[in-house]
Amino acid sequence: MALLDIKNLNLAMRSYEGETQILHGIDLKIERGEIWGMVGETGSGKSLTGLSVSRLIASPPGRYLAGSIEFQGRDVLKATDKEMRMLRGRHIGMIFQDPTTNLNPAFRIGTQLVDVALHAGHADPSVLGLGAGASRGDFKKAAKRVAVEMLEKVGIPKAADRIDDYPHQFSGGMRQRVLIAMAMIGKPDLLIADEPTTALDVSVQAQILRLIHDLVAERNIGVLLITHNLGIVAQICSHVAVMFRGRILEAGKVNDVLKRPSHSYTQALLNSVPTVHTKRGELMGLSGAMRETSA
Amino acid sequence: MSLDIQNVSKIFPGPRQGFFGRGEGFTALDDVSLSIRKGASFGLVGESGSGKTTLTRCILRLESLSAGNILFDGSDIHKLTPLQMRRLRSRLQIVFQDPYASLDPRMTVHDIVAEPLVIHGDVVNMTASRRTERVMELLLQVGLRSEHLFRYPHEFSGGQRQRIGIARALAVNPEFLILDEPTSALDVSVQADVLNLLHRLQVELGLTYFFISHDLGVIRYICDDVAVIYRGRVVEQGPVAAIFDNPQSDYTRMLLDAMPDPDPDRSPFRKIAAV
Amino acid sequence: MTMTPIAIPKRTQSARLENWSRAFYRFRQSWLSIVGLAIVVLLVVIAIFAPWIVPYPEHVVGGTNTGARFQPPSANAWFGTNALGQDMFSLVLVGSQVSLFSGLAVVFIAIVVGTAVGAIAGYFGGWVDEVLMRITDLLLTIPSLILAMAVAAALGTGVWNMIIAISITWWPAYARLVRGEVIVKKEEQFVVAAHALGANWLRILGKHILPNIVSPIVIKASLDMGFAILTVASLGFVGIGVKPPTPEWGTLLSGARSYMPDYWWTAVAPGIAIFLAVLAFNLLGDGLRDVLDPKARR
Repeated sequence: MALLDIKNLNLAMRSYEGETQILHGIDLKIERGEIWGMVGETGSGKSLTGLSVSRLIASPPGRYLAGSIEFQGRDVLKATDKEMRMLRGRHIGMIFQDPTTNLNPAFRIGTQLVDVALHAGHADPSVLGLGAGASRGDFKKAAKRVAVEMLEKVGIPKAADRIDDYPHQFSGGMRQRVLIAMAMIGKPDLLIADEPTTALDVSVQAQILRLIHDLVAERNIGVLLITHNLGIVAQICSHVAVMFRGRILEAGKVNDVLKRPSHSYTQALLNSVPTVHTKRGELMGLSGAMRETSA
Repeated sequence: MSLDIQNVSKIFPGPRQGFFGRGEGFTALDDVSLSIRKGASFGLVGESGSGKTTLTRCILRLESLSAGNILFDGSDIHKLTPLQMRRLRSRLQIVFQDPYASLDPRMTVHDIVAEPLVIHGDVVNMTASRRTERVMELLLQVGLRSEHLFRYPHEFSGGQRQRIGIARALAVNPEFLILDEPTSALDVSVQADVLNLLHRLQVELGLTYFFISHDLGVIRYICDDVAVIYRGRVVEQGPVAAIFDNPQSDYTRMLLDAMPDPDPDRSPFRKIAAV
Repeated sequence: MTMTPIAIPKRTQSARLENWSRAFYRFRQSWLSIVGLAIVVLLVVIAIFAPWIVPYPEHVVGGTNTGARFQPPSANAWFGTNALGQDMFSLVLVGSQVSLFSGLAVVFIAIVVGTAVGAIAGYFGGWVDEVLMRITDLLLTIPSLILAMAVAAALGTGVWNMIIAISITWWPAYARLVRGEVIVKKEEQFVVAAHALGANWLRILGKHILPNIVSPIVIKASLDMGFAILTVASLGFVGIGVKPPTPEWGTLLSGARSYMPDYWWTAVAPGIAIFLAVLAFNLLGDGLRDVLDPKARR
């Protein structure tokens, strides 16, 4: 049984223009220990695929036409709201692009982390290292301990002192670390990271990528990393799926796909990345024809 | 035409303390000197908080200087009269980073691109119909089509909006363009198109570029000279090839190492895994 | 550079039209907004055509019919008649004129004065801001009802005195709103872009900033309309404002006070009219907020 098994996912969204199909038969299987990169341009449907896994797309406007998303054998699309809340806090962790808007500025970092820890703890006390009969006091104490541990784990120095700080006292990179700590606190089996480093400096990006890489190595979790940056995929992903207009054009091991792309779109994407080694004039955008016809 | 930035410092005043006192100021730029050659592309690399945005604001005189001079064609930008400054603004234009925020959402493409022509009407002196023609030329020049003329910004993709921004900057035939991270909000494939467009325009119109970016790949691709700025100080500057192939400072080396390369074999993680 | 002639497309209204139809689509998503809009439209139509559609026009200008005092609602007089035998239906219908007109006038004056003060304070900052905003704060502390009473006492009662008295205490709210919005927009990149192009302050404020803060002003105005109507009615109720025989909802309600609960219909009709008007403008305001809120846009 795969950790995550998306089968023939078809999603339509309703808007002023009427209902349009956004995802056309997405198939994707993620096992533990794999880091799947999902690359594509704006509007290719990569983020909506990620949100679908935690069922964070409101309905309406969203509507699933067909398909299933099996997480550890259970279909997420058929789960009750209560089961979903349990999954989100405990088994599926999510990190989003903008670390500033995803922390509540009015509460201390610690308060927010402890909240998440308590939520996860109520779903499964073993997350906090507690038995089923633990008292409320035990829960609170354990939640705080776990919060500090997680902050240390994601590389925040003097975590025990900083837990009483407010989000604005952290830099962008540090905030993203806090969010990763928050996502990891329930010891999830799957981490969905939607452009986790896009808002960060390259030097900080390298640190965050290392952190994700180490977490996978240590906890044997599965990761779905949504990004538009092929460089990031090449760096830390084990597998990659290339999305275009709501379809996966090709998917497989990073080495196979990026070195011997079977689809011309993948090749075109690779050609459009300026690296330190690209000479002027070598860079090629996607030809207009490609954009018009392959819809 | 050249731009010389000579020993520029910018210190923002600290918070008010008591009635007269002020806390310690924040030094955004510390003794920055750069010299930009006519017709060349000068790249400025730095991360957030490095002072690169403050420097552009100083060049545009949206911010005053604490020390130093900025000479445009030999005349000190910060000593010009308002009228002289207005004249100068038509020769010195800027393309902004965020194509979503830099276009007024309530104006049509026509009005956006025509705005510099209206503002500098005393110099440009065009009739309304001649202005519309000029806007059309510009749109075609940056790869947009005539039917886009009376649409609103929200109807365009990020790459198209950035083209609108470029058309607006080119409207008054400037000699010097400040490009403030013009492609960082775009998809890579679109970025490639915009970079090639900028390169083509530079060749066709003989423009001088001051290109700000945190992406070393982009800088390498488009620029001739480069300066690396860190916490308000220029750490290193010189020809692109020299700096990239043989970086002298640790900071530049770190930036080069941190840049993700789309070749899996260059991954620092995989190297570890392979051992 | 030689140019081949290029076909200039006609400036079409289609883009603008499409924006409107898009906006209406979002507005339609909530049926409460539609209800609000419908009642507001109905009110406006009634206010405009009231003198021609009322069944007893003579009652509206002060005519009485003492033979038919306190008739309960019937086919003849839908809302019954009052102590003077006047048809309540006619009075309430014509009463919408004063309410809507003074509500509109108050909001309009408040917007004009408030926007001017707020925009200048927000744009220039510094001591200009300090001075203007302290004056604004000062006026904010005066309760509008009390001021209206003072004005009525000093200058006499009347629609215009009432409107001016209410406006004096209402514009500061708009000044604060506009000032805040201007300060935010001032930092937007398209405004910085206009600066960099060399635009002067009038152009930046008038062409770039103000058009982009119309939405919050419109939302506040439509929410305020309901409250303005309520304030006008309150003044009528306490006896300052419009004098009989001109029918006004607050005055009508006040007149009905002494005949409760036996002749309840004399109070119910104007009461429901006030209630519906206030509710409708609030629903409309909420609907507009859904359409115009910048977060919902894009």
